[in-house]
Amino acid sequence: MTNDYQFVLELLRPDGEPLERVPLTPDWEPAIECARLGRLRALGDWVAAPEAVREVEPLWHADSGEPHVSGFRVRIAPPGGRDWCADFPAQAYFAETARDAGARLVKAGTMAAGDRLLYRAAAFARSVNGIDAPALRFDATDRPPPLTLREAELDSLLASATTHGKHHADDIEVLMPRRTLDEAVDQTKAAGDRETGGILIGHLHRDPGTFEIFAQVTAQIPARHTAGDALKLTFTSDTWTDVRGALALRRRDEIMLGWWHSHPAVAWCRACPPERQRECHMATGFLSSDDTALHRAMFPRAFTLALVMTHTLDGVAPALFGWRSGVLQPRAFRVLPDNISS
Amino acid sequence: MSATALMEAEFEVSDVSGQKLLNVSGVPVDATVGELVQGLIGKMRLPANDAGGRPLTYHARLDREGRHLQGTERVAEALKSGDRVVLQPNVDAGGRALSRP
Repeated sequence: MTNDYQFVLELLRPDGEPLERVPLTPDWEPAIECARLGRLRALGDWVAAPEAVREVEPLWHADSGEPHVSGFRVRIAPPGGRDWCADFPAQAYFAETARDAGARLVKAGTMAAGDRLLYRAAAFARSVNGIDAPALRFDATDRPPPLTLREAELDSLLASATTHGKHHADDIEVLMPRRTLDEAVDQTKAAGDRETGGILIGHLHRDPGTFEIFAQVTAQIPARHTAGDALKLTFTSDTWTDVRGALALRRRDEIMLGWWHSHPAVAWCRACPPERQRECHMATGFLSSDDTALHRAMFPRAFTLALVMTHTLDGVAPALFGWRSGVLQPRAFRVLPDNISS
Repeated sequence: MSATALMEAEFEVSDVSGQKLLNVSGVPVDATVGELVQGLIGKMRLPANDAGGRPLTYHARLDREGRHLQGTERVAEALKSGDRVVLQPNVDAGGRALSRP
């Protein structure tokens, strides 16, 4: 992949006074995966080979022009296949970096906590590829596995499903059995003040009539060999070994569609009165920066899911997140009755 | 100029999900597993750091022997042709970063 531009973030006070220019080393992988899934949905063709991802290029801002960018474009051009481009807005994609930079400016005393910070992205041409070569030289050839799509009629599944959350037009449909949610609720309650979690497994489907792609969770595998407390849950290497073993034993050709974990807000907010707990943002489903980093590390594919079970005074509530435009966002899902199987 | 002897063995490396798979060959005979893992993180486009900027720890699990390879082991002594190695990180989730809902 080529990227001939150095992207930077310009940080400004609300009156436009420049504060700092921060060089970006963007993680393009989520955007590339979103482009890849978009191409599959539009053209019906899964391009797995990394060499098909040709370039990331800036989209110059319509008003202020170069070097300021409104976003960037990922171009996929498989040999012998049709080109596909996907555009991504810079404001959302670089928001996390801007928040980090703002926190640093507060720490340095340049800004006060609570001050408003503006940011805009820019890009400057450069002559070298931004990816460093590894210190150890060896040959590595990508051998991407095929993406298995099962055929299933989406409408017939949706007929018996209930919707949770607000559906976004850009999202693929996600179906989850009631049993899986119930297990996550039970496991969350049993864990008490500690965080717990698991891996969501299932299949990707293509509707033979509409060619729409959708994901169906078939089960959750409780995460074992984890370490954690009320504020942290570490998935260890042994956790992944256990999950891979469980998948192999099930022999249903399921893939890891995502993961879930609990937020024991009931423990975090115990010192607060009940009425304040109910209004607290901790009582809503959210992904922390650790959660986002874990998802990026383990589940970069654009169809993958992160389920958060928030345990409050009022019970355990699910919230699902998925990739949209290369950023993890809250998303809807459909709950299937237990007599419907994949 | 000095020449480095290379392993003849070719083996597979995948991420946990199995969605990223590499055929690896031509590893220097004196390379350690730790050096190989560091090189693979870049080639597989895996993140090197966690949310706090701390390095993520990736373990190399050798399926044939059902064990984690030690970072100090020589790749040439630990791996054979046809082996499959899975990179498995220790990675944190949770509400530790509570200031940013």
